[in-house]
Amino acid sequence: MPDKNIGILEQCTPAVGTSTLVHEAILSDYIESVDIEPRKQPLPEPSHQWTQLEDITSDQNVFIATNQPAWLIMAKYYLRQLANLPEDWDSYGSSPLTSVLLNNAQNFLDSLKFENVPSPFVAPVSGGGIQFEWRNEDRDLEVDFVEPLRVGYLKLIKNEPIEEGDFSSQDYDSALKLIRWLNLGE
Amino acid sequence: MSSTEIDFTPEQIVDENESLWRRIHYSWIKRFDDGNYYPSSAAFKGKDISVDIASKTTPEKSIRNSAALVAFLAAIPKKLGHEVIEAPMPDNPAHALIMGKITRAEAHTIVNASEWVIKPLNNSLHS
Repeated sequence: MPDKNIGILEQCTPAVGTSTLVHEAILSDYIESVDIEPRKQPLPEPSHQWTQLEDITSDQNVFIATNQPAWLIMAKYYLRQLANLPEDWDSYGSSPLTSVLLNNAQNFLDSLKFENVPSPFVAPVSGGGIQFEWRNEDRDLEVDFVEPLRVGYLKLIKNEPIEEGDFSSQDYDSALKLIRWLNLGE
Repeated sequence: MSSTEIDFTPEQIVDENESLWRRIHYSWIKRFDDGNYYPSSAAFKGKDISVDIASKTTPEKSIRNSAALVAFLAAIPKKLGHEVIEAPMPDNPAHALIMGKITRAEAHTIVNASEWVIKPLNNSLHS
């Protein structure tokens, strides 16, 4: 890999998670993808600020190789954790998360890659589904994936539900509208 | 639970004043900026979800290997149109079911009505 990007890391706003465990997991995923040994160096301080990192490589080392915002890296990290839940993870007999619903959830997140959003709370749903939860000021948004071709959502204001519905998992415009409601209230 | 309809008799109906307990998996625990923990509404979504009747068990028996335990009155799901029926199991005579599919908004109502019986330790996925 060329070394022309050495030094870009120092110019970037720190963009990854809140613990060493998170950093290592995230780095190892991307390092695996480029097959280069990591360089040992202090990790950046956590930040909730949206930042897009460029590929940063040298001839011997990889710092961070991603063009994804911090919130997306965190959300995918949590998704990967939940993907490993075993049979009966909820103690009520639930099956593990299904690969179809995991893919739908990941595609939904990817469709929001260029939006400025906080990292969601990511929760499994009994039966193999996934739920994302966001809070911004007095607005809460829940998005769930419990049916293969649908995305469900619930909007709340001041903790009171105001709208519930669902749309096709291919309907990215509706996904964007939800996030813009969360961000702007409109 | 099964997707088939479950028949029940009037004798199985749980009184609205009974307290119901639901186990909370660690991944369902949210901690807000105020430092307090809350269960995610994901904990209450589903069809015919299981609970324990508090008067027929103890917190120690009910929690099993989960991270926390919450309580809410049977009156809450009943007011939402979901009957609560006794459904004892060989290893859990306190077992009961909240009948029907709980919607997203209904799950929130149950969250808002819930209180911790056994609070989570600082071990949630997102802590």
